[in-house]
Amino acid sequence: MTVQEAKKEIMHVIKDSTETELEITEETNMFSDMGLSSVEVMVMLGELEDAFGIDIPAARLRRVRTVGDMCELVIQILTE
Amino acid sequence: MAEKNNPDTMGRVLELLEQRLAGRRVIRYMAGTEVMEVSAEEFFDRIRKRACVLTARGLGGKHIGIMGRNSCEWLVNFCAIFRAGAVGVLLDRELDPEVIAELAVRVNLAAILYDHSTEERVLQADVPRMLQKIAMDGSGDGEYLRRDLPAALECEPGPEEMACIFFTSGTTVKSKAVMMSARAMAASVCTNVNSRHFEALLAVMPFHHLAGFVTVMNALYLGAEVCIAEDLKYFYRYLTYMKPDYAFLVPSMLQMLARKLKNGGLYGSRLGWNLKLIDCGGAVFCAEFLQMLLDHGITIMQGYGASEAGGIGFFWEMTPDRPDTIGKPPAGLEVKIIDGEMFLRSESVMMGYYDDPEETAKVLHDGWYATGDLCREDEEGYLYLTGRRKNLIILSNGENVSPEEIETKLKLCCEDIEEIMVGVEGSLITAHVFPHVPPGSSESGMERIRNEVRRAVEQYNDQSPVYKQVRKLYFLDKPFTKNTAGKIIRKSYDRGNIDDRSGS
Repeated sequence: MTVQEAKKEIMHVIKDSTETELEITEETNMFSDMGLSSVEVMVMLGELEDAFGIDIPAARLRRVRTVGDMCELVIQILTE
Repeated sequence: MAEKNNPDTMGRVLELLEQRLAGRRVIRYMAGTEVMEVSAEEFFDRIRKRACVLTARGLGGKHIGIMGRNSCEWLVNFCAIFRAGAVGVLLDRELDPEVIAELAVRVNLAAILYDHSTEERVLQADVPRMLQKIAMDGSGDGEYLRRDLPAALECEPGPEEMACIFFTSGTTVKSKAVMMSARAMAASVCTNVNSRHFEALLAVMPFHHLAGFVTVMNALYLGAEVCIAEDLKYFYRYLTYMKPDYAFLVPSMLQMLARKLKNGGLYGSRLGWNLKLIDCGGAVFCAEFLQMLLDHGITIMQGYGASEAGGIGFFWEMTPDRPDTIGKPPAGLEVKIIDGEMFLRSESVMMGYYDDPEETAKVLHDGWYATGDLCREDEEGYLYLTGRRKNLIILSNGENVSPEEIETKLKLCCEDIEEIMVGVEGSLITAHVFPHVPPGSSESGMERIRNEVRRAVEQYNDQSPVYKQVRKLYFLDKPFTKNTAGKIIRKSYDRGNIDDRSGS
């Protein structure tokens, strides 16, 4: 899977998990643009784990704000 | 209320539960996507064996801390502490090693029980040499299992002796160590305040909060099962696979559920859920989301209680005509209001703060606990929270202002306010707002929303005394930081500590 393919899949999971109708990009802020609570982002982690077969420690969410940040985190774990 | 002839110690509670639940499944949890089941026989047998090991380790009657995720193992170990005649000390699973060390000394811990998620930090904590660090899964018990184990001590604390210590999840002040007697713990568990029928509770609230633990044990007391939510990441998985019909949540989770339930059908059945009853506490809940949940056949109960007052608290059905009432006190709970502050008295009220008679004397008189919560009563006897005395803003003109009162007023009159925190800078009242931004909003749309918030603040100011007016308004681009109970950590937002705001 290429990086671009991974990002596309990650964004698809984010959209599905949050039921958002927003057209999201990597610059979309999950909190201020999408209106998500920290709990929703935590639950989204679980759905990303299921989609990619990885484990994402909650502690690594600390600096995640945008969709792009989340993509970067997932890809980083995929390649670790 | 605690029924007559109810047990008055946790040891007797466990005996009662073992008899009542014999032959039944009591706990479920998930291992990946597999649902694991624990019978009553297995559960209580594991508690007994664990208690024997703790006793063999010389911990009978001592203070034992426990730190870990929600799990069956956690419950077994905590109940074992009571069976061993020791005092259980609830420790937040997120504590850093330095804080662990400080608390260990503060409440004279003889041991700390840890699991895989807290092992590293517990082992790093620089604690007194004699303090035993014990793995909850029993992996370190080798030599104790080879011995002839004594029967677990039957001489547990008497009803009026200390059985449990927990720390207040204070949002503005250093946490205090709350002492609960054996009687208070038993009364917290053996209560019929929740008279709604349910079959399986989803245990989401962290067990290290008293409410998290007693809700689980109360569910067993009421004859239900417990489905353990170990990791919030898998919340939807728990709802789908274990299908609990009752959950104890914080308001932010309700909003998340309401969005997900849009096309979810009755009880969320189209999503594979079976949710019929939710207990929500901790903050004012938006009436809009209440209606969405009611439309899906889900009953919402507003739960209110003070940790120091134990497990007997308010439990009232939320209805659209009175979405913000905490209801009327249940049997077994006495309430009085003095100078606007709520006082509670029941069998589950704390003994006091550990090693702090001065702080205890400030809040405990003749069995009455001063909650620090401001409230009012309407003509029909319904009670409403109007603020917290502990978070009072004291202005340079000597006036006291309740930030929660202002926050609630602004939130109720402006649907564009998602979260708000009122504070003070010098002598000026400030409001930090995280606005509700609908998906797809453009920059001009967001500016329109900010203008709505500004208008709401101006309208509030027009109707308020000068000293209560909001003088500075800030907008945040992400939600407030909250503690594990979902409450905004106010200290984080003192002047100079905010890094995500723009001026009004």
